[in-house]
Amino acid sequence: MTEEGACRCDAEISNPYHPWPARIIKITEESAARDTRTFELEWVDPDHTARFQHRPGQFAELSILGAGEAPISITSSPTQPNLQFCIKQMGVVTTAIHQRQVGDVIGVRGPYGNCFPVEAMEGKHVVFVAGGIGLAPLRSVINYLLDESNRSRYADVSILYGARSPGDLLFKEELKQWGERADVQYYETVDRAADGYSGRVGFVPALLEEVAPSPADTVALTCGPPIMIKFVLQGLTKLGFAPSQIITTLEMRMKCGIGKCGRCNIGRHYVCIDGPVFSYEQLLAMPQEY
Amino acid sequence: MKDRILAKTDLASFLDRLLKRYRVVAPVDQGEYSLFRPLQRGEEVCLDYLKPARSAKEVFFPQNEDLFYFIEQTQKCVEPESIEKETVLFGVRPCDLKGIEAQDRLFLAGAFQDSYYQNRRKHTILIGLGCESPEASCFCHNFDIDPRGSTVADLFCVPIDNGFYYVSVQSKQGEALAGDLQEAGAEHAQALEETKRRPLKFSAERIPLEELPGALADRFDDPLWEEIAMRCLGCSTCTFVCPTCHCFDITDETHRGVGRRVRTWDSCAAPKFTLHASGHNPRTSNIQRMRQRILHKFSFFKDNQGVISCTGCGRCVAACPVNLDIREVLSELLATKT
Amino acid sequence: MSDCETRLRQVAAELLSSGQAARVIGYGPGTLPERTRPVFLTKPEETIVLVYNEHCRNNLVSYLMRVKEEGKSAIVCRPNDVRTLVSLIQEQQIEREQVHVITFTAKNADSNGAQDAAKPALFDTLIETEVEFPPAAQAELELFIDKPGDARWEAFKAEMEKCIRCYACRNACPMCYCSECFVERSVPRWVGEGSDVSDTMVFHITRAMHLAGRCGECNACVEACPMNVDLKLINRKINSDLLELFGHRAGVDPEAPAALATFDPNDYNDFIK
Repeated sequence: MTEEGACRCDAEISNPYHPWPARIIKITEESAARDTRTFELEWVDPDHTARFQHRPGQFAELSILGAGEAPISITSSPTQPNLQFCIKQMGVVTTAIHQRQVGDVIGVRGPYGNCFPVEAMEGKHVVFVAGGIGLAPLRSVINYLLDESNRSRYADVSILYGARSPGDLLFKEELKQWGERADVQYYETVDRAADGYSGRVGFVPALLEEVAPSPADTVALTCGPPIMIKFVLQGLTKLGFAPSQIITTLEMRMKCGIGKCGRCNIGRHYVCIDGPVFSYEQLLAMPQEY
Repeated sequence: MKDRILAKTDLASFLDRLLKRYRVVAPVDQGEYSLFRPLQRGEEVCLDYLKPARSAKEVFFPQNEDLFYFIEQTQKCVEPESIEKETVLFGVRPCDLKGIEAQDRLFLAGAFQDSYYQNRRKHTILIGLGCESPEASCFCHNFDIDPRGSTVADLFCVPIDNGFYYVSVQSKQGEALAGDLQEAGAEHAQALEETKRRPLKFSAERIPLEELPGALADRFDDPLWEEIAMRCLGCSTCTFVCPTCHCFDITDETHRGVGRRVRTWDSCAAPKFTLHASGHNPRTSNIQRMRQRILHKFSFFKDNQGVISCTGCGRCVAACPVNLDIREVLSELLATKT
Repeated sequence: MSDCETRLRQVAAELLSSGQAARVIGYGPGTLPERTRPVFLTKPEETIVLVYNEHCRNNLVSYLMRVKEEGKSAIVCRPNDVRTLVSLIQEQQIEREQVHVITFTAKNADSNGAQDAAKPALFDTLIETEVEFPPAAQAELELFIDKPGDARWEAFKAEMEKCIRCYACRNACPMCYCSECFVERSVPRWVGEGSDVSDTMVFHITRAMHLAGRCGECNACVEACPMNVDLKLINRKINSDLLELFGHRAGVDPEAPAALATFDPNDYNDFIK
């Protein structure tokens, strides 16, 4: 074993398992249950800022040495200055991340995976249907579309979002901004209301039925709990969306993130290489083992 | 590059000469089987068993690989020392050489290259060994494998008559190893041709593997899988002895604030392989896992890496505690296609 | 084909055609020389494949746990396999009525204990056979026990170094039926992954302790191991300790209470100082 010291730079280029250090510069408590936080990071090595270029929909393996790694979708758009991850506390690694404070360094490997087909979506109307933490991966593409350098290339943008309760709505400040924009239709719902909440109450699939977006020249992007996705897919199909018009992003147990360890293999795809973004058409052709 | 010959009785001294310059790994007797192990002396090499009980993959993809070491508190990490000395890997049968080729296509190709595999692989010179007769479990004749030749190796030794190996020199690195051996003459080349012409008898018929991907694609929901999986114990034996299986786990281990991130062999047959932190598990039954394993090896790996993830070495057939025979499984899957 | 196999096939076919058993779990010919394999038969005409010979190396009792909800099973048991079935019944994992036990007795029942005395603890059909599964030699156990502590540890460690953590032993063992094995738990992580010998020793020692008082010495673990690890070393030692301390041998007496799950006021307590 060599002496302790900073990570060797020459290894970083060729070693795909070596995490890059990033400092936490901001932590935002997103949910009243205090189990979901957005971590904003800044690279320790300024070189990494230019080298880590991600596209909306990609993910990174976040690393806490001693706890392990977890694949987390990048919630910030590449148009935003800093990398952001919105993380729900679930297991060993996410718990270890939640114990970190501003100023602490964590490891990041990536960007991995494919991305939302933002080029193919140009000129179309885009409908986002998100539930709970499912908004986190979709937010990267929402903010990408809404960025002034991109907005004009997309037609109407609608965002349908719901959470269990008002306290569970993520990115509350941003939700307000989306609601105030003239070039976005923002619809919100909660499963159950709470004091002070005056908005819509009901499940996301019901909201979808109410808003009833037209499938003409439209792409629908959806992400949320499996039960919500199931009903949203049914709902979109009923509205006339073809499977190729519906895009989602899959969650999967991962380890290497680079298509070697076999863990995220479904059918002929590795979710870490060919996904996590898949169209409903692709999902239908895959074994239902996800 | 001229081919050479090596008397079988000179093998140990040839290896001793290599040991002066290289680390030499070869089959070594373990009592009831051999394994690929570093040699201290050439005479330790053991060719009594057709092939070692585990494949050559563990030379490049060991069961335990320290990815790096770290201090928890500082979150700083360092990598292990990279390999300094060249290794010669001797005695690799064509099935295992084909296995190395398959693993090269996984670890070294694609958007990312595995630096740990690459490091071991590029510092290793391969000496292959031809087979004289197959075992009952061998079925390499299904996989475009010549039991008496392989271009994957730097040197390839075929046993010919009169107690000699015909040593084909197939690369500059091979030439560097074999330089002091006697050059092969015309009579040796002829003996090689004669040897190669002798038919080898396999215990099982050839399986039409080209028809597999199509047959498997149709079979996903077939009740046949339940029958196939019935005797399977769900252990990882087949995966671990296999030259092409590559699934692994990455875990962090710490003791008093110092630790390592380690890569270890894993198997898609293991019950918790796909378990999410949320508790959701996409593959909860042995049937689903068995189906995944076979489809991955015989269909999906071919789609992604261009070769079937099997070399017919038969170790899984011999090692399986319940004699689950992949040859039989494949034949059944092909036989009942509609 | 031996007399014993003829009889076996007859009985099995009878059980299926009369509907007394939904299936027969037995041994059929393997695909390699000197191998047999578990077979699952549901039709009388299929019973023609059944064999019984010294190459029968699996304990089929472990398959009972998979099918116990699905009608009565007839099962072919080697003599020590019956011991594991008795233990499973004692542990209320299987009900006696769910099984029709076909087992064997030595043609010339002699008194060297070759097959745990002439009559097994449990059977529904008893067939005479010349096939023997001799127990591991007592001398081998004594050799291990007589070693001083350090040497015994080294001998054990040498075996552990061969282990590749495939868990064939655990999965072949009918007494290992936990829905989640302790090695699979990651919170807390009791045992490290991989084949580091210290982790491997923790696995095997812990498993041996879990088997204490329950191991029937059926040898399925030893036969299953691809690396020929001598897995019986510790289990035999523990079994001999249990015989000495509690007069207990797993699975030989269906009425005997489980040694380590029973409190008896006469239990020794000289370890209390």
